[in-house]
Amino acid sequence: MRVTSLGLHGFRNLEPVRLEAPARLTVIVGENGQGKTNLIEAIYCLATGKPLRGGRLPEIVNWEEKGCRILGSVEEEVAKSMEVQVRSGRRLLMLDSKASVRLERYTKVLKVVAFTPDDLQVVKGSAENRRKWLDRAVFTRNEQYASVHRTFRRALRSRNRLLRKGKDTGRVPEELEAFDEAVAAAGARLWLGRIGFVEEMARLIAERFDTISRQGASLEISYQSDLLREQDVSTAGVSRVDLEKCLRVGMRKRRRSDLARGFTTAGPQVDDLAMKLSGHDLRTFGSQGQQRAAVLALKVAEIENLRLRLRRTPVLLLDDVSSELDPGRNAHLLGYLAGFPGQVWMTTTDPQLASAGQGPEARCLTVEDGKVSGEGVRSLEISPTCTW
Amino acid sequence: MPPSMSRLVALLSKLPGIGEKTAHRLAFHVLDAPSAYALELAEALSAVAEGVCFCTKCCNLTDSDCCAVCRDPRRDDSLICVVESVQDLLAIERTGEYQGHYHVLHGALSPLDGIGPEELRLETLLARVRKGGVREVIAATNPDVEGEATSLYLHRLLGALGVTVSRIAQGVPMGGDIEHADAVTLGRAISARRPL
Repeated sequence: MRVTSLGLHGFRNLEPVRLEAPARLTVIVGENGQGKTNLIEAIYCLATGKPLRGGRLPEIVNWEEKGCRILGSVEEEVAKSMEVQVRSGRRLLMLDSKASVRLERYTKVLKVVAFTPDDLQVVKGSAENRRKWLDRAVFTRNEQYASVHRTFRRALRSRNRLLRKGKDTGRVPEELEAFDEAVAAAGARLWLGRIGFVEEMARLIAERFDTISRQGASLEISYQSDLLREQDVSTAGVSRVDLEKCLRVGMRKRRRSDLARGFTTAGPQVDDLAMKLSGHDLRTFGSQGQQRAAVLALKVAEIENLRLRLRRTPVLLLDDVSSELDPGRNAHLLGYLAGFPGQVWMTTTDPQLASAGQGPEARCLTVEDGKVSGEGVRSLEISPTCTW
Repeated sequence: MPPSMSRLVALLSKLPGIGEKTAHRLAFHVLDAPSAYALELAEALSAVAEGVCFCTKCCNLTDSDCCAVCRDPRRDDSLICVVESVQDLLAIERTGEYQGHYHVLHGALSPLDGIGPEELRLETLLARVRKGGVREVIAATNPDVEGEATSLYLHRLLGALGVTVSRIAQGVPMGGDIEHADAVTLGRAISARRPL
C-alpha cells in the first residue's frame, strides 16, 4: 500500500502543493518550524481524518483560509482516491469522489503508523498516554472499535453526570442503575478490544525489544486493570459476559465512593498498560536507552502485527525520530527501514539521515517556510474551496 | 419589503432546514399563489396549534381527548409498546404487524441533555400498568446509550409491578446482505440468535 499522489490546500502553514508519484522512501528535510511535520500530518490526516498531535480538527486549517482540502491517491489492489475536507469545524470524507463516507469505512483504505517524538510519553508519561496509544492502535487494527469507544465515552459521561448530580443534591438519581448497565455493556466491549490486542502484541513486542536492546533484559507487557485484578478475572480467553459482570459488580461496590466524588472511579477509563523489564517497572527502573528501545519495539511490533493480521503493510510516518534515539537505536531503525517493504515518509534535521534520501527508490523534499520543493512537486490544480 | 412580508420570512426561517433564502422563496410563493391557499395554510396552522394535544392515555398526538389507536376496539389491551417519539409510533404503525397499544415517552433518559425520569411521560404509563390488564410492555426505544438505559429503567420500574418487559430485537435488516451489515449489528444478531 502506498500513497502515489498528495494534494494540499489550506493545510496549516503549507502552501498549496501537489506531489506526484512519491517514492518508497521520502525524506523531508528543513529547519525547525518550516512545516516538515505538517507534511507528515497531512498524510496522517488523509488516512484517518484526524489531526496527528491530538489537537482539534479546526486547527489544521490555515489561519488565512476558510477551509482545507487534502487529496490523495492510494495504490492497493486497486487505485483509490481519498479526500478530507474541513470547513467551519466540520469534516467531509470522500472515497473515489463519493461524499459522506463513514469514518469506519474510510479508514479501512489507507493504514498508517506514525512515530513522533511525543510517543516517548507512551513509556515515560502517565497511564493516559498509554491508554490513548492503545485505543489508537486497536482502532487501526479494527475500525469497528471506533464506535465501541464512542459508545463507552457517552455512557461513561452520562453516568458521571448522574453521579455529580447525586453529589450535589445528596440524592441518588433513580436512573443511575440503568446507566451502570449501559457503562458495563459498552465497557466490556472496550475491554475485549484492548485485551485481545495486548495479547496479540505481547510476544511481538518482547521479540522486537530483544533484537533492539541486545542486553538480555526481557520486556513484558500486560493489560492492567484494578477491577479485573480485584475480582480475579484472568484476561486469557475471558468472555464479554464475564467482563460485563466484573464491571457491573465493581461499579456497584464503589457506588458510595463514586457518588461522594462525583465520577466513576474504576473501569477501562483508569486502566493501564503494564511494561515490565525483567520483572521491574520500565518507567521507574528502565534507563533512557531502554525506554527508547521499548518505544521503538512497541511501534515496530504494531506495524508487524498489522502486516501479520491484516496482511497489509501500513505506510510509515516518522517525525524527527532520530533526534529522540541514540546512535545504536538509530542504526537499528535505519536497518529496519532499509528492509521495510512498505512506503516510508520521514522528516529529519540530521544531514546524515537525509543522505538516505539519495537512493534509487528514495527522494528528498525540502520544506522552507511552508513551501515544499523537490522532485515531483507540481502546482495544485484543484478548486481551493471546499466542494460542499 | 412590507413589514408583514419580512415578518413572514423571519417566522419561516425559524423552521428546521430553512435558511433565509429558502424562507424568502417560500414567502413569495405564498404571495404569488391564489389568496385562498394562504388563508387555508393559515387555518391549518392555527388548527394544529389550537386543536392538537396529547392523548390522555398514551400521549400520542390527537385532536380529541383520546387518540385513534386508543379508541380502536380491535386493539389488544394487554400489550403496550413504549416508544420515544410520535414518529417512532408512526413507523411501527406502518409495519402493520403490531395490534397492541402504545405509549409515547416524548424523549429518552439522557443525563447529558438534562433529561431525567421526571421529564418523561412515565406517570400515565405507570397508572395504566397499575390499573391491571397489561400482560407485556415492549421497550421500543432506540438502540443507543440513552435508549438502552431507558429500556433498562422501564424494566426495573415495571418489572416490580409483575408485568413482562421485553426489548425489541436487533439484527440484520430484511432484504439486506449479511456481508454489508455493520459489525456491531451483525454481532448482536449472532448473539441474539433463536432456534428454528
